[in-house]
Amino acid sequence: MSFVKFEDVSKIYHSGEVEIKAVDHINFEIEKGEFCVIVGPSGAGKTTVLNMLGGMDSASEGTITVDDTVVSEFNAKELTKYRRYDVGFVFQFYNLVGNLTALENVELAAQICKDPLDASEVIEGVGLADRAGNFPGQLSGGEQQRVAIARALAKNPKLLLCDEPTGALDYVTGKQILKLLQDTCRNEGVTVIVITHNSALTPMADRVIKIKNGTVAEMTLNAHPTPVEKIEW
Amino acid sequence: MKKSNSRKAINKDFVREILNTKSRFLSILILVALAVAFLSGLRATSPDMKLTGEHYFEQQKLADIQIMSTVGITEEDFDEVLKKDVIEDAEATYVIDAFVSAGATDNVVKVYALPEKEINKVLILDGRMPEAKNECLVDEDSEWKLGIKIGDSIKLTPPDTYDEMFTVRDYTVVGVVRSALYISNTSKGTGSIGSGQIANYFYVPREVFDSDLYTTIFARIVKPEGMMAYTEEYDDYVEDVIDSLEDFGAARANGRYGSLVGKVDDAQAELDDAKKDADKKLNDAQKTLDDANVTIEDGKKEIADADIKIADAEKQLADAQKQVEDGRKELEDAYQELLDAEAEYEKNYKKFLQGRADYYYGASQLEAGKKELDANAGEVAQGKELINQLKSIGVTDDMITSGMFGSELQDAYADIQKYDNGVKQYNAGVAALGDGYSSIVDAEKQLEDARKEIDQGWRDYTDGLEKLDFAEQEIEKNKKLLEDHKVELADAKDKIAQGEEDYAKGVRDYTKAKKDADKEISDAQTKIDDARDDLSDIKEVKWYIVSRSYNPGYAGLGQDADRMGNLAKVFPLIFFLVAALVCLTTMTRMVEEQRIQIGSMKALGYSTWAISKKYIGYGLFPSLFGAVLGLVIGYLLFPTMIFTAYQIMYEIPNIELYQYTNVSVGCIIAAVACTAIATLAACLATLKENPANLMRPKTPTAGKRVFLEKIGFIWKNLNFIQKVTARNLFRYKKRFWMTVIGIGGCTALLIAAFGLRSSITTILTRQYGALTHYSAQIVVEKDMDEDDRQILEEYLDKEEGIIDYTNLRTTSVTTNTEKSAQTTYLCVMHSDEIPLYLTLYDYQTGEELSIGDDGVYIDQKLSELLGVNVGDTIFIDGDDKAYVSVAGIFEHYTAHFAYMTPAYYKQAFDKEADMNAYYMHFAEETEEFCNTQFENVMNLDGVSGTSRVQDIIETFLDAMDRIDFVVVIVIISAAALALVVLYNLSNINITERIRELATIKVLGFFDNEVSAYVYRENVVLTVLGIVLGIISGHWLHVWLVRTVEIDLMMFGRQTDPKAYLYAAILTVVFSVLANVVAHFKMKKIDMVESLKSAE
Repeated sequence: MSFVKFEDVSKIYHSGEVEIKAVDHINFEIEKGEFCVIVGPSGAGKTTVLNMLGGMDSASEGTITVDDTVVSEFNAKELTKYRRYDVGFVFQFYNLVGNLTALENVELAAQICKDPLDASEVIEGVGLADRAGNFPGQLSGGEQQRVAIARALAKNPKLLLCDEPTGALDYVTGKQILKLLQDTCRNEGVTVIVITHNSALTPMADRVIKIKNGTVAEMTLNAHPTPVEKIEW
Repeated sequence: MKKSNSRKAINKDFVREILNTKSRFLSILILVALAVAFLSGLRATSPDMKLTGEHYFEQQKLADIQIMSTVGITEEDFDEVLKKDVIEDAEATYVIDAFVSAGATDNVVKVYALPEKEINKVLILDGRMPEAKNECLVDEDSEWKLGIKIGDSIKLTPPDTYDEMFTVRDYTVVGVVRSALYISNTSKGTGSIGSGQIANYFYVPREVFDSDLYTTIFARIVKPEGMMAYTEEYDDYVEDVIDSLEDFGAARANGRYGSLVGKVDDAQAELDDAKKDADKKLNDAQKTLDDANVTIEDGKKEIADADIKIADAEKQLADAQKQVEDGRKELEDAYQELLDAEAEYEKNYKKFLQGRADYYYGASQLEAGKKELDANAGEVAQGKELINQLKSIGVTDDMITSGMFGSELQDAYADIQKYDNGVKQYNAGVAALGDGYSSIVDAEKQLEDARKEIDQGWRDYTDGLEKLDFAEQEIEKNKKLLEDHKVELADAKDKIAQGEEDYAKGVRDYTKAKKDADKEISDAQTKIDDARDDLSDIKEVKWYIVSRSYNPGYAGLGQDADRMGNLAKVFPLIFFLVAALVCLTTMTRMVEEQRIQIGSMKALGYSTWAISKKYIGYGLFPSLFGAVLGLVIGYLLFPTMIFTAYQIMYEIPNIELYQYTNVSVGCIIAAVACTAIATLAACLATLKENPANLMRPKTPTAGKRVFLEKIGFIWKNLNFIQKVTARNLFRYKKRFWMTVIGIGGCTALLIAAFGLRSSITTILTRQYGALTHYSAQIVVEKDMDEDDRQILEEYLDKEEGIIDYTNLRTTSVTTNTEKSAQTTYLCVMHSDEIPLYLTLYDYQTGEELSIGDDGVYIDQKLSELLGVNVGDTIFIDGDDKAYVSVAGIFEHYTAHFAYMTPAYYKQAFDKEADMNAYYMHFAEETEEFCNTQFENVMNLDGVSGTSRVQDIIETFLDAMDRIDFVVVIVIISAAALALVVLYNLSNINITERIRELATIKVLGFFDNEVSAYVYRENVVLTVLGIVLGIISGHWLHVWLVRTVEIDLMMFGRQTDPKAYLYAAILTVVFSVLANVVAHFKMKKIDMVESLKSAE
């Protein structure tokens, strides 16, 4: 049994009388501890997949199973619990609480979990020990994204979901962030799923899922993923 | 692409924007509508009231000025007034005060002659106009105040001054009337008689008054077009007109005064002549009478002499008569004596004859005895011898007698003895006979003498009789003479009596004539003196020309309107400001939220105007719409509701509603400025940046350490969430202040409104709950006689329904200082009785005051109005006038009272306080019980009035209900505002932080945790807002109370703690409501949508 499993999952948005199928009977599996990259062009439905997987959105049809639990049948409260205990999110625009310091942003997430990691240690782990007391406004984009990752990691999640984590970052910084994510996956054994439209990133993943028009176009397993440092784009 | 399409697109965008943000749109609309309604409504109330008044006055042709004169107004005066250019029209008429007796009490009413011209027209509310001289009209309050209805018969009694001119006293009420001269139903002004308070006004036909002198001229002046009552320009204009008439009035008055003085002088001269004439006539009469009196006196003396003489004569006659009678008695006695003497003589003569016979018989007897003796002489001589012998031997007589010597001897001895005795007897007989003889001779002689004497007696007797008869004849003669004299004297006496009677009559006639003349003269003199006094009493010989402010209630309505105006000045502004602040923030927020869209539009090449107009339109639409809606509601609803309340106190037609362009335009401009212009400003500020910057997320405000973090011990003790809350609070300063001020403003408005309400109810609860205890007051006549008073007090003592009572003196006076003059009840009470009926608390310390003999004690509001403190002096002007010193100031709410002890009264006014009223406690407070008591008391002589505290409370409750109503309107408005403001604030809060909230939702915060995240801040903001509201609400309340208060009443000055409580609770409730709504809003936040785009 796979750790993450999408079976015939569809997401249909209704806008007036128009039906838009963002995700159309999608099927895929991801194993525990894998570094997975979901890649596809804009509007292919990858963010929708991620949102459904992260419990921010519910599926219209089909079954989503995470760690033997059927997430797709959760009600709102169970979804919140799921987000709270099992999932860590990293967004393109970081979404830090501007009014909290780096450390406090991490603590904000950590304090609602059952078994959180120590916030300071996590901050240290993402290499921001000396910026822990700074507010997001005082940090660079990369640093902010590191805080966002730390915030996600501090929850000690089963799944780390990243939606275009490098989208707003320059090349170098983007690489550093990807490295951090890859290291986290390797060292902590967290299942990391990254969404990107940049197919150059695929070699670093254990598993690559290509999505097109709301369905899986191709899924490849990488027996030997390339370390981020070696990837160029 | 066609141009119209692009316009369509923008229009669509606009409509969609509104539809998508209905709640924001509506809250702006409602906020603006509320604020505008409140502002325009309150602002319109005051001018609406004034205009309603003005139109009513114009319709009734209410006089602008009223002229009265201290010396009366003549026809000529009136003609001169009419000639004046400033006078449009005028009517000279009669207005007097009179007592009306209807039912048990006497009240003073103003009696007007019905107008003949179109000035001070009256409105017949019921019934008809008088058709006969004895028909009258009464005002609409007469029924409930005096119990006078149409069809009743009433009697009007004028004071002496108007006694002659007021020709009809008894009237039938034929109609109920309303005059614009009186618009207050609580005050009908003051009069000069009775209690000094005018209860009502009546109209009688003009023909009732019969006098050359008018009392009053009512005049309408020529005014510029459009000039209205209750405006400063009108007041000034009328004042100018009055000033311009001043000299004319003075001249007329002085002229009239001069002619009055002349008349008095003429009258005096005439009187003096008449007096001289009368004196002369009287003197002549006096002389004649005196002569007559002398004659009478002489006659009387003569008669008196004659009387004495007659009395003497009568006495003499009586004496003589007595003498005669005595003589007759003596003669009678003498006659009896003579008869006795005759009888004695007869007896003696018989005795003499007997004696003589006895003598001769004795002599013969003696002769016979001698012979016998001589016969026995021999024998005896023998016997004697023997015996002598025997005796010589010693024989004793006893022996012989005892028979010793035989019986012969014994016999012999007895014979001897017998003989001896015979001899002796014979001898004695001879001697006795000799004596008898001489006595017979004597007796004979005596008898002869007696005879002679008796004979003489008879002669004397006869002589006496003759003499007496003569004397009697003499007496009879004199008696007759005397009778004649008496008759003569009686005649004389009759004559004198007649003379005396004539004289007395003469004297009477004289006295009467003199008295009459004196009275006539002194009456005339009194009249002249009175006239002179009156003239000299006229301290100022002048015309009083007064404006409408003299009319009772006229100024009151203006003041009430002004008070409403005052209330409308600031109070709704605060209201408006809170609303505006919220609208402004909302719109600014909206522009900021749409930063990226604005940037895109700008990047697309839309002009600043094209972009801005959406937002300006968005702001303009609800604010314009809201403002218009608010104006409609405000102009219609508020004045109507408020004036309906005031109509209880004012007798004027229903309010006329107007719109005021300046208010309307002002409201619209203010509303538009707060939203549309603020929006424009925000747009312009945003549009200054280039599109690229706009489309990039706005550089987030750098997080900052808040000052609280510097205070280590506090910061360390806060948990994580508290720290977050604290930092959030301090970070968004604009929101912080907006929210605190918004909530604070609403709380303050609510506190002020609740506070005002409690301040008004305090009047009742405090005044009649804690300060005034007595059940009722009865008033007695000023000069109630002692017996009546005793009867009354006995009744009060005896009646079980009356628990206790005390007497006091209560009068209406004016208390004066330089600052002000106020109508005040001056009560004189015994200090130890006061606490039973009233409790006087010191206005500052709250301690109970005991009234001492050291001065007058006045109420708090009066002290404020007069500007006096303890130790200051005020002048009391009433029946009694004096300067008195203020000894204490007490808490009091309704009307003005001044208390003093009888001792201080005496000291201050230099006379005893005549008690004229009683306070009492009833055993029961029900109306029936009270009415029974009052009826009983009113049936007693000398009781002139009664009043029941419960009635005052009820009347007061009625009046207060109206004001309460205004306050309730304010409370509801403030509550509505608070609700909308809080809702909107919480709405803004959510929209503003939607990304942050979405983030924490993603992090797995439960819904209630998300809400709590926001609530924590809201709670703090609400608490701070309430604190601010309590502080500002307190001041707002204090200000409001002072603004709304009237001179005759003090509102509770303390803000009732309950007002704070209610306001806080309401604010909290609204806050909770708003937060509950917010909770559901937050629940609905779409994480995906919110996080999708960069801010």
